[in-house]
Parts: sequence; C-alpha cells; structure tokens
Amino acid sequence: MALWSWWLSSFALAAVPIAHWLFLNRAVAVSGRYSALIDRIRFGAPRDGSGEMDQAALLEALRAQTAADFGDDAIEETEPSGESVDETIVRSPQGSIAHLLFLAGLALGGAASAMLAGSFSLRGGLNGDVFASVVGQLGIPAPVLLLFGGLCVGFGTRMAAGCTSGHGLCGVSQFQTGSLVATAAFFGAGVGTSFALGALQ
Amino acid sequence: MYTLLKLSGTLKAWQSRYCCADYKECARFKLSADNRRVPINLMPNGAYLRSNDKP
Repeated sequence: MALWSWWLSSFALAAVPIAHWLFLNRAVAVSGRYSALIDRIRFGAPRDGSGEMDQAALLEALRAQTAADFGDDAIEETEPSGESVDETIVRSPQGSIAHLLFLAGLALGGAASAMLAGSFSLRGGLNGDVFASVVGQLGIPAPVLLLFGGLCVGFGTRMAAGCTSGHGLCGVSQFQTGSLVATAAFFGAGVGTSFALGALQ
Repeated sequence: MYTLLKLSGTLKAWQSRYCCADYKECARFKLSADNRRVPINLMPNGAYLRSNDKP
C-alpha cells in the first residue's frame, strides 16, 4: 500500500481543521459529534434557548437572575476587561443532520482515498499483521475485539473531553495544556502498545 | 458559565452559595455528574437564562 509522504500528510491534516473553521466557524470534533448525536437520541433536542442569546443578553439575564435570588447588593461593579465568552459556547448547537453528514463524510473520504490508492477492500478481520498475530493467540473473535476497542475509545474520549481530532488537531494548535497532555497520552500509548506487541510477537 | 459570572460581577454570590457550599445542589453539577450536556445558560439554581428574563 502506497503511503502519502509525511509533508503532504501534514498539510492535509492541517487543512482539515482550518477548512472546517473557515466554512463552519467551528472547531473539528469527531467524538463531540458522536456525543451530540447520542445526547440528541437520549434526551431529545435541547430546549434551553441558549443559541438565541448573545453575550450581552446572557450577562443582562444573569444579573437579573442574581438580583432576584440574592438581591441587588450581590452584583459587584466590574470594569471592562476585554475578556469575552468563547463564541462557540453561546452559539446554537448543530442539528443531527449536520453531524450525520460529517460522519458520513469521514467514511466516504476514507473509502475514496483507499480506492484512489487501489487498496480498497471490505473485510471483517483485524488490520495489522502484528496485532492480528498477537491477539489471534487469545482466541477471541475479531468483532468482539473491535467492539471492545470501540468501547475503550468511547470511554476515553468522554473522560478526556475530546479525541485525536479535537485535542490533537485543534487543541494542540491553540497550545491548550489539556490537549497537549491528552495528545501526548494518545501517542505515548500508541508507541507503547506498538513496542509491547513487537515484544509479544 | 464561570466567565459569564465573572464578567457580570455576580461570581462571588453564586460561588459562596453553590461552589463553596451546597455544590451537590448545583443544577450544573448534577447534569455534569450525570454525564449530560450542560447548557451555557443553565444557572446553578436550575433556572435558564433567557434574554427576556425579568427579576
């Protein structure tokens, strides 16, 4: 299988979050879209109306609510600091169709790339000779292993509040400490697993 | 929500009532502990901020 050169892969990866931001004005978050879809299925569409409000409206409503609960004295004078609420958290969430289109695009893009490289094939087994040979000795069916792996990924991404796209592509590019730590953990675990598999083979 | 509270000058009131005292009664904490999305406009007391809110 022919692999892209490292520099071409780097540019392609960097183009993904940049294009996503330019076209949608949102950070890329694959696991976030999965989570949003699951939340929509579990709890229905959000009815909180947060997407209808801008920062000024939120601040005004917040002061009114505070005065009602604690009295006017609870509100302190503030000086303009130039600080603002992250635009992404006051914007209305995207609908399920947008999430589904994005996730379908991932699958179609991967399939198109494999087809162009002439390596497209559908198979139910494990990909990777070393991994298959090591875990094959355990006698566990491949679909069970894949399901277990998927559950581990889902658990980890919810626990870390993001996956390789959110932390690795977007968080790291913004020098966010949590994303730097999370990405180091992703790749560190990958390298460690690779060495462990090599030793077990 | 933290930034909103800070910018609006209401942080101390909510912190002393919920964060530093009855945090288990905080509506935001409850949702988060239940692994559910916490809306930006959900107040610790369970009320939703809306642009036409009146005291």
